[in-house]
Amino acid sequence: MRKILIFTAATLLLSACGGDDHDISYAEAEKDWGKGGVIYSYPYHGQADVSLKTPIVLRFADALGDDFPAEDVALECQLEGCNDVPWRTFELVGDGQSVVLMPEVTLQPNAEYCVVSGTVKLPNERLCFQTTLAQEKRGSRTDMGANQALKLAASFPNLTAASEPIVDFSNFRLRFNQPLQRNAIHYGEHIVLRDAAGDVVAASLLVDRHLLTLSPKQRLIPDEKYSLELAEVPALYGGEFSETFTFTPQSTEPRSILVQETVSASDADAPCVPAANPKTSKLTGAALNCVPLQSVLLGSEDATMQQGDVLAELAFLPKFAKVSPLRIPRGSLLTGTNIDVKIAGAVPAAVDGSMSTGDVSVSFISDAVGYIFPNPYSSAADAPRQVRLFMDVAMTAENATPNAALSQDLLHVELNGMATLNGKNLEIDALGVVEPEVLGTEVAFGLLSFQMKSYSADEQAQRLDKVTTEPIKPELQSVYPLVESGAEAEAIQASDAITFNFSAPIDPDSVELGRSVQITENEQPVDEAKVRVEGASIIVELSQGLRSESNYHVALTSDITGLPIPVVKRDGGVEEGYRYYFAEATDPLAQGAPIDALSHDFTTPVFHEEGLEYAGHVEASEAPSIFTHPVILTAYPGYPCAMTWHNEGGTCVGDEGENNPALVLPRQKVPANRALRLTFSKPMQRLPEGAFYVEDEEGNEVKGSISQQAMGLVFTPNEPWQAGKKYTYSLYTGDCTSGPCSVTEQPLLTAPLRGTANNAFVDFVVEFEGAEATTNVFLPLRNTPTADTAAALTYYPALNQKAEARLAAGEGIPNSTKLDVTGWDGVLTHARVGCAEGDCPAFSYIHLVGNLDTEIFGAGEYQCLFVKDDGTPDDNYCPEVEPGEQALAVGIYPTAIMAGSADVFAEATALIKLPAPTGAQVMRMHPGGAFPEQAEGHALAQNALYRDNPNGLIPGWIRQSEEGPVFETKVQLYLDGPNLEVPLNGKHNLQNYPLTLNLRGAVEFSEDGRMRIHQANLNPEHVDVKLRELLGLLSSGIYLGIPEGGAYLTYESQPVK
Amino acid sequence: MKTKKLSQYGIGIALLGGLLPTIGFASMGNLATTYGVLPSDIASAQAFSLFNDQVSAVYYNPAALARDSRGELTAGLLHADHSLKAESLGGAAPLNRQGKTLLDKPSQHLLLGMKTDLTSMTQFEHPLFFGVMIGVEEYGNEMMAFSSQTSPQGQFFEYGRQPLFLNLGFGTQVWRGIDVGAALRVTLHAEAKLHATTELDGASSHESMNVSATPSMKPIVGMNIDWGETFCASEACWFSGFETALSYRDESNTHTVVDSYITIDGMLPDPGMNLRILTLDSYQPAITTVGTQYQGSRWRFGGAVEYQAWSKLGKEIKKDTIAGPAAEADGERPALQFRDIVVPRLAGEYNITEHFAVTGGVAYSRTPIKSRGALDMNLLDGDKVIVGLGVSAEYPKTRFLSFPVRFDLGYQYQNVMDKEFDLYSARYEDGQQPYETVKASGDVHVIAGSMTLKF
Repeated sequence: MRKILIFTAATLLLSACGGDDHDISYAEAEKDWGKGGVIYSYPYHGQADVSLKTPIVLRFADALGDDFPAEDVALECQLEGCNDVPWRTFELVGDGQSVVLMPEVTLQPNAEYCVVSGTVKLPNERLCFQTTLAQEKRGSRTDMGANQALKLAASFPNLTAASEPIVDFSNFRLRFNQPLQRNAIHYGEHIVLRDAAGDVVAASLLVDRHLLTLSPKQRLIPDEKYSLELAEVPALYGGEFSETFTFTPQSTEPRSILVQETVSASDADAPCVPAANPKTSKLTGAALNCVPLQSVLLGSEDATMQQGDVLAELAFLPKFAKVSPLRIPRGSLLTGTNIDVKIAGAVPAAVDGSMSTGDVSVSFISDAVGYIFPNPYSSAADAPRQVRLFMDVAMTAENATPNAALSQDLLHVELNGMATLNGKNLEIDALGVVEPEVLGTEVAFGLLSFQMKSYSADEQAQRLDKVTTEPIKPELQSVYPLVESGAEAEAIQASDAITFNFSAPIDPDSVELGRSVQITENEQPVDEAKVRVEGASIIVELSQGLRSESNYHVALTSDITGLPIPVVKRDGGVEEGYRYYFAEATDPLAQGAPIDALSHDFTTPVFHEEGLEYAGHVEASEAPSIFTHPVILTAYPGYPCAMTWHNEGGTCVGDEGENNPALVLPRQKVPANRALRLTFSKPMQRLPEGAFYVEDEEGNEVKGSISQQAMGLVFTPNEPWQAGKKYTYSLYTGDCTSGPCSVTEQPLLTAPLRGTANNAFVDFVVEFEGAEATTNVFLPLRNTPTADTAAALTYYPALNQKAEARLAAGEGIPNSTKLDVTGWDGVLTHARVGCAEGDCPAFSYIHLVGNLDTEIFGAGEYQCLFVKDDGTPDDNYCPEVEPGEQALAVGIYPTAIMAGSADVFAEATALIKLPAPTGAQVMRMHPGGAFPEQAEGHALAQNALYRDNPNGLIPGWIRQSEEGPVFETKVQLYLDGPNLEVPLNGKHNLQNYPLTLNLRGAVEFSEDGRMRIHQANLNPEHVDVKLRELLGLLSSGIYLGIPEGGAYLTYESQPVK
Repeated sequence: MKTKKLSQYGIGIALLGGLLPTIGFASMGNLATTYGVLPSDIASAQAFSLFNDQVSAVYYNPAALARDSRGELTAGLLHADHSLKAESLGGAAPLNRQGKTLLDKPSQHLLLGMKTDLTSMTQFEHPLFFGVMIGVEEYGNEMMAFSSQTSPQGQFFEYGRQPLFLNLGFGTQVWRGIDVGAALRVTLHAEAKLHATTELDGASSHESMNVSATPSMKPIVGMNIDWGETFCASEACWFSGFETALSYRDESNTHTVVDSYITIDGMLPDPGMNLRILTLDSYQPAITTVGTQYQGSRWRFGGAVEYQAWSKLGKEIKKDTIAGPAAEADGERPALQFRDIVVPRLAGEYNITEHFAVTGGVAYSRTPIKSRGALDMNLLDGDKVIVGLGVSAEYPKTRFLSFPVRFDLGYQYQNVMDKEFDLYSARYEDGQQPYETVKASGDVHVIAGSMTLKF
């Protein structure tokens, strides 16, 4: 018995020694299986349409040590002849788990790049992505993918494979391999969605570049068969695509609404700057939800912080266990904080606050549909799920001027992020890139580091109850052309579009020509026009262009509405719980707010010389003739006159080097991603086949596409220009069947230095060289408004009216030069400009016709350009500046300005009166010298077009002053009067007559978003006209003066849309 | 019956039991099939269990309840000490193990049995005996001990804590020398239904929970033939002393179904996410046993052959949500399969004195696991050699008890022989390749003691 007890006790005590828990968890096991590598990357493996300025972001499961082997990570370009891209910087952020790698140079468009590494463990060994296509005019046809057949590159959700489920709230985003012909694509014709019965499903279409979004207006019926037909969808550069897809959408009921907060980086007024100590993204280390806009024109310092609640509708998750769809409904709004627009990030664009954006709004113009995927790189239990969302957004600003400059639609913005559970909240950290166009010329870059957090259950209900129910009503902010009703739009050109800018985005479906938009031309309705919506702007383009001296009336009815707002409805009760859902699109509460009906009318000025007659004071027999021929105003590359080419460069035909050495233009370098451009002084006919020809140094034709607007021509080559290779382009003149002619059948005059003689119509040949692709901004400007809209280069009634109106109002006449007679000698006893006697103030001005191409480089250290002959700054003109002050460096392409005829009246004695109208004159700009030196290592010092100035650009600066930004430059000109007929068989000295003008003037932005640069001369100049061999032996001189401020030029950028 | 003293023991044991750690850790098989119920079963390696005159016969062979007409009250304790190892033999991505031992937790049972003579219950005076046998894990602290899980490091197939062992049965004599019996093995099938609304951090509200447990009763039938008594009851013949028994125990298991519906406000509306788990544990296959013994004057010698139909577990496991994926072959990975095994057992008993007897037994059990790997379950096992040794002492008269009392003490040693297994996980290479190969082996020492009152 006792033994039993002892035994029992012994076993009991033994049993008390239980061992430790030897259990190994799966998380520990996964560590031993070598997991713990990349859990997130931007771009993701296989992403396409990636920005050329993209950073590479990698996030790892564990924190990386300080010695991240950046040298061992390479970015390989998969194109032929394309090199590996080194890294400019790399940074460890996000508690050491994320690394941000910045490539040294901008990537090539339409190319595949792969991130590879020997030591860092990348999933699949390499991470590959495709860059986006080049923008129009910023690359060759190869860069835009236009050298191949039009194909559908990808669709989201995928229509060919089942990688993303198609559901009842799906919309379809199609990406093609080259740009589409946007204006020609209609829903119902080229692209149709049909239901099971074959009926057309109502849908709206958004098209931009190579991207297309098709949104059914109502939810699709689940389990029904639908077909999506693409029938001959046209590409911009030729070609069509047809295919039909069928699919059956799945039901997502019961759906739920998740309210997500866009986390504020900080509460300060300027929340994104480091001083405000903002919360940073764990992916990039940048301030949360701050969108910096990196652009040469707008600068990279400023960022707008997005805030607001985003309502997302989730499909029933258990039905979509692996890939879960979600959508953010159309009309959702994110509001961003103010940015003060600065030029080049250094110079404030205005001092009166007109260039502060106010609230920057990002509105969803279509449902943003996305999916939550399992982590593509790691199957570890704690690897976060991946969120991929596509959105089409409209960016608008509260203040009118920046709104006109920034308002646009951005299609297929892809957000790629990870979803993690952080305590009570679902957190989505995502990265996306927006690339808005700035001033219609530059593509800015903005990397969004998004973070959205879900609310707790009770807060969610509160937020849903507080959701705005009022849709935003768009108010008209500005119109282009900006004139009083019925007045003449002085600065408009025939190919310009009429634009209405509103305060909030417009619903594209409500805008239809003939219904909500009505146009009349001289009281006749216009049917041939294209009306489109870009963000908050309605743009009307007439197919035939604007007609000369016509009255246009555009009416917008209140059928046009803003975007609908997502309306949340609730049913259920306290007992069974509340259920929140979005109202259907047909619900009256969910409609956009209509605009107030409005109309705008204006008249166009005279565009060409037909029907014009001389209206100056010179008698008919001696009167200068109306200049009927179109001339080239700018040539990129090249010069507006036909040239003969020799070793040092080209010389204008007709420049004999009289009086002063001939002007020589170097062979200019054209970066690989630029198009060739020409602008003309009058509207031109369609160029005959073969009139424009490009060949390389071996005589092979360089093929490309020519796109013509009323007064311009753009040539996009099929292949990029090869650096170092020499090319030639030629414009063959002739009669109107073989050469360029204006719409009034006048042939192009290419050698203006020869006057209008028969030998002034020579072939226009330009030799140039290819160079590496550049990130500089090419900004074309026009000398508008000008009184001489017809480019007649003399006085005619319409011109006189404009000039007199300005003088009566006490304003300066833009693009004009005042000439005062300061003296005379020789046989002359008296000389006057304008009229023989009496007061004719308007006729002492000559009017200028021209355009200007500029190269915007970026911020640099300002150095005064107004130097004396010995090179030291001239204190008369140079401003007081802080040393090291930053300004925007600009290079002006030397060009020629056509100046109108100055009516000069001279008297040899009281009896001999010699009216000597100068006839059309030419002012040619000299190519500039070296640019101001910048510090070694500064970006400008390495810029190929800045350093050594190979294109002969004339240096200029946009810098800060008390009155706002100003533009300064110093130009040296040659004035030629080839049409001057000296009476009495005399000769004149107006050949290569040198003038030097120190120019300065304000830079301002008009309410329609265009940049306007005013220039006036700071130094008085004089033109001493010497006439000799009058009657064989007499000579005389007329001394004309250009007073300070007498030469008044204005340049305007192209209309933004 | 001196229940008072017994209850004192019971309290003492229960108190001590309370100090022990309470970690559920169950397995296949049950107390009776893995070790043996009472010390006498343990000592004979279950070879004599068919002929056991103690109350554990209600499980092994209910017919044996009729062997001894005395009633019985038995209480005992069993302690099984495991030292089961898995030695890593390397692999593609072996785990970082801190040692070889996988299981060193014991299985400790409180055994209670009662047998009574119900002959006088009916008017027919037909011998009828009733028995109840209960075994409770952790010395009375653990009644459920249900555990079914996946394991990246491997887990042993048998051994571990066992759920409640409950059997009730009857035995009766149908003809002279021929006894039959029938018993029921009771296991619990539990079902839990949970509805909850929760936030993302698990804070729940609006919950409802319903748990029900249905008893599952599986039959055990047995037959005992005492050749001597059947054929030559009056005088001895060469049959005398031989006995043969046959028993059939139907398969049984404990299973649990958890059916939960979780809704999350704003993310997962009604009906919510349905999490449904159906899993089984403590599976006992259908066992058919045939045994024979020869009773000599002072010794006894016998053997039994068991046929355990484990292959059916392969089909059952396909319905199991936790182990189900392992039962499907995929690419290069084999499916989890079981085979029927035959377990031979031999034992002998020798009465040293009138009161003392010593028993010894040996058995060999092949492992029922046929396949080399099981996805995520990673079941390990080996062929076993079982050796038992025990003593029993029966005192017809004691100083303070009026009824005979018997003490048993048994010891069993099980040697799990080396066997290699591959470990697979769905999280490693999608379960296509094993990440490690291990050699499973181990020893189990079982010691049990019981006190029986015969009345």
